[in-house]
Amino acid sequence: MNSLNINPKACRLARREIDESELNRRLSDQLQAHIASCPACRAFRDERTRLRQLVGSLEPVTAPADFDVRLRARIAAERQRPERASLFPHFLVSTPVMAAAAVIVMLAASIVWFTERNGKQSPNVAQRGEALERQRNGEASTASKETNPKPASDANSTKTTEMRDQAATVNGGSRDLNRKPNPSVTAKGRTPSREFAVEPAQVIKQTPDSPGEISLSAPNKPLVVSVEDNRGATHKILLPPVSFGAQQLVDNRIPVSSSNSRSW
Amino acid sequence: MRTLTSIEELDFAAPAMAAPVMVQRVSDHALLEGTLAGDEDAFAELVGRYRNQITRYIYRMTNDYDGAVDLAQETFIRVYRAAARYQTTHAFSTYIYRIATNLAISELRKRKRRRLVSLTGLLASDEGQEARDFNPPDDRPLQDVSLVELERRTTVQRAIATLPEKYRAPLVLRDVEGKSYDEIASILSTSEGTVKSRINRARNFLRDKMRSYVQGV
Repeated sequence: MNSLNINPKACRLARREIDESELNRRLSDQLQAHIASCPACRAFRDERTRLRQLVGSLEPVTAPADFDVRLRARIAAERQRPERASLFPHFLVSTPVMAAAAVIVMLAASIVWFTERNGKQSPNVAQRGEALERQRNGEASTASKETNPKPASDANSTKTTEMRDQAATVNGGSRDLNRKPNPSVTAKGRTPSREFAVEPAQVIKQTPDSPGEISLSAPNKPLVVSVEDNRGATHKILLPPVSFGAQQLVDNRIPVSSSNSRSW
Repeated sequence: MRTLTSIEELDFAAPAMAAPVMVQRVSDHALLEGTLAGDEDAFAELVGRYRNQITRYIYRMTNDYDGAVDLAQETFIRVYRAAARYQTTHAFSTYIYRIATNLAISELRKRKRRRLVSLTGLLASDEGQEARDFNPPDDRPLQDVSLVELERRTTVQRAIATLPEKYRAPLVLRDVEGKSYDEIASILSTSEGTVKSRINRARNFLRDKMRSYVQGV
């Protein structure tokens, strides 16, 4: 019988039962039989019993006598304290929510950055180009009306134009000499700003004054020129991008040394 | 003074026997409902029932009496505040012990972050690390029995304080507070098997720490 009782599995079961049993409660007959025949499990039971007695025999701890009074005071103080109106509920400022918000912000920033980057490389930004074109025309018309009374809404743009005019005067108009004049800008003495960033394809019509000649600003990207002849046929011409270094040659700028009106 | 003329008069004059008053213990749920209705006495009764248990439990967990009293009061304040949200699916004792456990564990984690070690907790160590033996037990026999008892209790309390928090809570609930495995599982929001396993490991840990006491019998 002892050989049946004393085996690793029986000992494991017996020790589990000892561990899970209530302290000072009679063990099952089967377990008692096993303990009687197994010195190791008997030692384990004695050890566990002693340990639980030690832990359970700690000095009694009671709440202090003024526990209730202090508790009432704290509750009363909490009642009287005006509730601070939090801008954000507590769960909104918890760590997981903050982390999620940070991830969303980073994702949004990445999307915006990629969109901007792709947008600059894409030729299909006609709307932005049109807006820029309208802005230029508007500035030009504003500059031409400098002597006229201006409405309050145009005050800022007019002021900017005046400042630009002053700068151009100081520089003696040398910058104008270095640049090819933009046909769309007709203001006298005005320095047109030129953006070498992405611009939309412009619709350019041949002017009757100079037949057979059109002027294109060279962007820094491949340019497709679509020409429609009188018979309705469309011809496409692909122009390679012109780098900034080649821009001077294309623009036929006057060398600095040959300019007499340059003032520094 | 009127004189008695018969024994019957004496019987009638005798004070009536007070009817036996059945003192029925009001349930915790009823007291909490009373608290919710604004009955301060009901809440005071509830506090009276649990203040010692909760203070003792938090003290065993944190090994700091003043802090334990503060946290016990915070436990009751939370019960008071959340009385409207209390659901009767669990026993109230489970509910209040769960609040106390959360507060105690939160306090232990705060201490760990601050690296704040109390004088009584100098033996405490991080999870899985060996405790520092700041005050090694003196093997010489002590003169006074009460001193021996004090030394033994201090050693046990320190040994409990060295337990990792995940083992400390179930061990204290089981061996100090005498809770059942089922109740401990509810308080700690875990399974009964996990509770049994953690208690077993906690006891093995304590046995190694207090080998001289456990084997000294």
